[in-house]
Amino acid sequence: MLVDPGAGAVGRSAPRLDAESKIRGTAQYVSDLEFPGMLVAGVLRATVPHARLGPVDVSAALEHPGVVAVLSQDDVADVDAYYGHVYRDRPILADGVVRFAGEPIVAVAAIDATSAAEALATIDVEYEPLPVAGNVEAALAPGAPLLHAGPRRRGDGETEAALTDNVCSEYRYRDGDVETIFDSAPVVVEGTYRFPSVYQYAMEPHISIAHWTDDGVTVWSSCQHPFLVRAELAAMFGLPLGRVRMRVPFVGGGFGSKSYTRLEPLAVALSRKTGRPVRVANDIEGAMLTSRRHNMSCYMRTAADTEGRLLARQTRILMDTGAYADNGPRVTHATGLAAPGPYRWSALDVEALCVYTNRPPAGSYRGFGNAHMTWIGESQVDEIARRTGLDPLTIRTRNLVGVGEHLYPRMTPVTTDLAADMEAIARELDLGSPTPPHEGKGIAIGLGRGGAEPISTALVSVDPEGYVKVMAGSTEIGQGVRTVHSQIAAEVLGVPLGCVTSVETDTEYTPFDRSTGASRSTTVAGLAVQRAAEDALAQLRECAARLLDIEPHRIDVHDGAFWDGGRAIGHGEVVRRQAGAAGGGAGDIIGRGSVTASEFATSPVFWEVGAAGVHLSVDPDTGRVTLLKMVTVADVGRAINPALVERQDEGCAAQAIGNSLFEELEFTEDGVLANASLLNYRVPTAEDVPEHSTCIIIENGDGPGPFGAKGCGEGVFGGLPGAIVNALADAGVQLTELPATPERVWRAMRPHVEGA
Amino acid sequence: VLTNVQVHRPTSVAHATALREELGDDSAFLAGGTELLLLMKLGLADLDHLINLKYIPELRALRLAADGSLVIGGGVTHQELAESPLVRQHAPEFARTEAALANLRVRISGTIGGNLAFADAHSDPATFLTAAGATVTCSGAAGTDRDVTVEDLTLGLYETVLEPDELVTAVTVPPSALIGGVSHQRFESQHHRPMVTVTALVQRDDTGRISAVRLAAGSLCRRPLRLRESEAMLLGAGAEAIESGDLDAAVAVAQRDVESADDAEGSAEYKTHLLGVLLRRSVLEAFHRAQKTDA
Repeated sequence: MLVDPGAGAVGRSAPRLDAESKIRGTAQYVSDLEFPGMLVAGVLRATVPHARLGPVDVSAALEHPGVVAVLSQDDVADVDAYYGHVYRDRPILADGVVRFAGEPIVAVAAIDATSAAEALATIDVEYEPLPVAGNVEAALAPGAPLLHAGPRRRGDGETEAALTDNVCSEYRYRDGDVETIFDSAPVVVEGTYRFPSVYQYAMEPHISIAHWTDDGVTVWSSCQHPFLVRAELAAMFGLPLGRVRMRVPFVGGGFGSKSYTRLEPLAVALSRKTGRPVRVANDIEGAMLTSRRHNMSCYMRTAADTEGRLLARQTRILMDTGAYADNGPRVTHATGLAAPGPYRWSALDVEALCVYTNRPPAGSYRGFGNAHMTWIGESQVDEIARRTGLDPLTIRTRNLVGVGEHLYPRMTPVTTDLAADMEAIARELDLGSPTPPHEGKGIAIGLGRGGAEPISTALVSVDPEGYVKVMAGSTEIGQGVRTVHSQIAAEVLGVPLGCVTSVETDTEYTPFDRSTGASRSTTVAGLAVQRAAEDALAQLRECAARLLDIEPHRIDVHDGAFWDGGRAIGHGEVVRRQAGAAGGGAGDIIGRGSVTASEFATSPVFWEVGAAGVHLSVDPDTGRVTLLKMVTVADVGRAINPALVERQDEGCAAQAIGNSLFEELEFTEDGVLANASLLNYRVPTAEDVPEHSTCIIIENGDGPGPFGAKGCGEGVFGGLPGAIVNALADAGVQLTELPATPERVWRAMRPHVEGA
Repeated sequence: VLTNVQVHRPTSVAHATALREELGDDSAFLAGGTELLLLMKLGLADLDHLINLKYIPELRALRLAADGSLVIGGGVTHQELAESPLVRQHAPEFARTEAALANLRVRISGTIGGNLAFADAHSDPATFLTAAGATVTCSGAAGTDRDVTVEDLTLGLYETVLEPDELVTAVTVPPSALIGGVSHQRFESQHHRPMVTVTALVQRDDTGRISAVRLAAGSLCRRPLRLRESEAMLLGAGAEAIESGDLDAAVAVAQRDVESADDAEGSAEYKTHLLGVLLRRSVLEAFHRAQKTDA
């Protein structure tokens, strides 16, 4: 039974409105779309990591009977063929220099995929090899090859001076006298840590279809930020915004991999050349080469007093952003920001460098920054607890930032009781009770910036039959946003959820939403939906009052009608009779709601809490880690749909477990991806989530979103890796490098085992 | 992938092998397709003809022969072996091994004959059947059948003694492998593939001592290997020696003889260490199961 019969009250685990169509296979994704005359693209990718491009011979490809066009760098010389929302440094096709193995060099548009593949195989490319910076160390070494020369264009149109090294961006934060504290502190822990590069696997790899006509271009794309992509395409191809139309049907997962611009420019360039719709689709290897998570290395030291009070922390962070900036600067910023963790400090010194290398570009992935950093700080907090004789819960409650306190002076204060979150986890995990040998328990907590830039507009219309349509620019990416937005509208308008639909994003018709990411769709876009529904309700109420001939404030609204005691008039009837028309028909009543950045005095919109606990066992003979129990806290202010909150935590947990225990993109010395296939890159599945998993939903109503909600779904990436690393330490395995593969765990245990 | 491939559907082994001989190098036998279709998809195999073996009744046999051996047709799938009451009764550990193999999609299409003929080093059945002393019947276009032990079937990575026109029509597990205690151990890599596999078959005499033992290791090396020297060292061992874990010498010779190499899944050192762990576990478990069998 997937049809929800009841009212659309917020706080109820209503079934997802898209569940049935997805289960039946009728839900449409970009890949399902067919257009008359549509061509299929093939992309020739570079086989070397750094080289000057010699002659590229496409003559044989052009002669292939199935090929309609071959697109080379020359074909986009008349447009501004670079994209990148932070730095506009990425060419549609390699611009005379190849900067990573896998970079697109030439594309063909053919009548089918086989023709495209056959044509690509005939293309000869000559490379003149350049020195390679295959990793961050090589990229920062004296005399390292410079990846990007010349003045830098920012995504906002400004220009910066040319780089003299490969540091794409820096984050620095200094507060207090760190050196003096470290010189005198009784307890200091330090270490060097590594976090792997991983792949943000989505069931649907990137795909875009573009159709260029005299009126502009329409792009159907599996993307998270259609409005930002629209702006980039308009700037690149010299079109007015209104001539670029982005349509986003259901998206088969993104997790950050589909944020910002991906395949769209190539699809547009190919359609522009052929005048026909062109489909560009990644396979798994292509997806891995399009975006990945930054690998990171980090030095950290933390000082505390003998009572376990945290005093100072210092970190040096290196992020490998690959050949192009992509979202690297912001990921690096978020990583630096996460370094202190949610604690009070006397002094901090954080430096994070985002470094260009000849690896495939890295960008966003669920919980970025928090995922990279929190486990490191949290493992040092546990080490300090051990040295000062405290338990993991006490050292945290002693140091956590309290309600109303600031993590950073000029940023948004913390609104929730973090200590209570940790206590809830400790209770559920029975933390402190003895565990058998080779078992361990661990907890961890981090905070991530949520909400991104809070700019959203929504429309909510009520039609003459009382049906409600929500139009918002959020992408339904599997998170259930259309269900949640429908619930919000149903709640406000007092109609059953079954009367509400949320439509797909189409920049031609759905109003602006900045992006789908940073856990913002419920909080920010949802707030716009709430306001739009309230606007529609106010209009309806006024009409209803007139029709019922009573004061508007005396009207009750529920069950799809406006009530004056026992007398009722349905929403549809109000719409039909709004202008006093008697049978002449009537248009919808349309409510409008907006959220603007100026409403928020400080950033972030909210702090997303990531708190988790784990109970695990380690096989001392093999190093295999088995998760026995997992506890997460979803501190969401208000759960619009509790089941969806739980599913978000579970999904994030599966990915966090993968990142922590086995996922890793491997690269050669020269930065060439070595495991570009699902045969040798394992994606986590439901099997990897422990059978005993508890998601504790905390509802304090402290969020800025609708009904006091704040976002969720990324926080687990902060807490869970730390909980795993701390539980491993509790079991006797000290790790400073993830993922915790059996061999790595076995090696970490060996001296311990031999010494015992 | 298969747009330009002609698929043939012979209904007898004779027809299939004749086709293979006739079509030559542009053709291949298609059993479950779990490996071959993947290779074609990756562009590593370019074939014009596939000879589908799914419609050959002879390959579907699954029976206990008059001499007490278990005869498995080459086309029997892993899932069929896992679920077969006959296999569960006479070779329960083999049924369990097959049930745990890869994932359901692979088990439902992959066949025992295809698995052995493909000779991927990462194979649970190959290790198990090597320890069991099983033989395969290979049939070629000339109409001649020959029997080869599973141990001798594989020469190296993806390399067997099979002629191009030969296919594995049956696997025979001898009666001696269907009594006593059996234990198959596997360690999965982070890629969900068997990284080290060990099988032990143990029989005990009326004093409880080991009267017969067969061991094999695989997946960490180029082909499954019988561990004969280790076997010899365990003969006559009693409960005291086995339970106190006094297997060091037998483990050491196994670790000496099985060659492994560093690869993306792990170092040779780690895999060799795991060989020791799994060998101890399999011998111990098989030993206890043998006791139960006797009781």
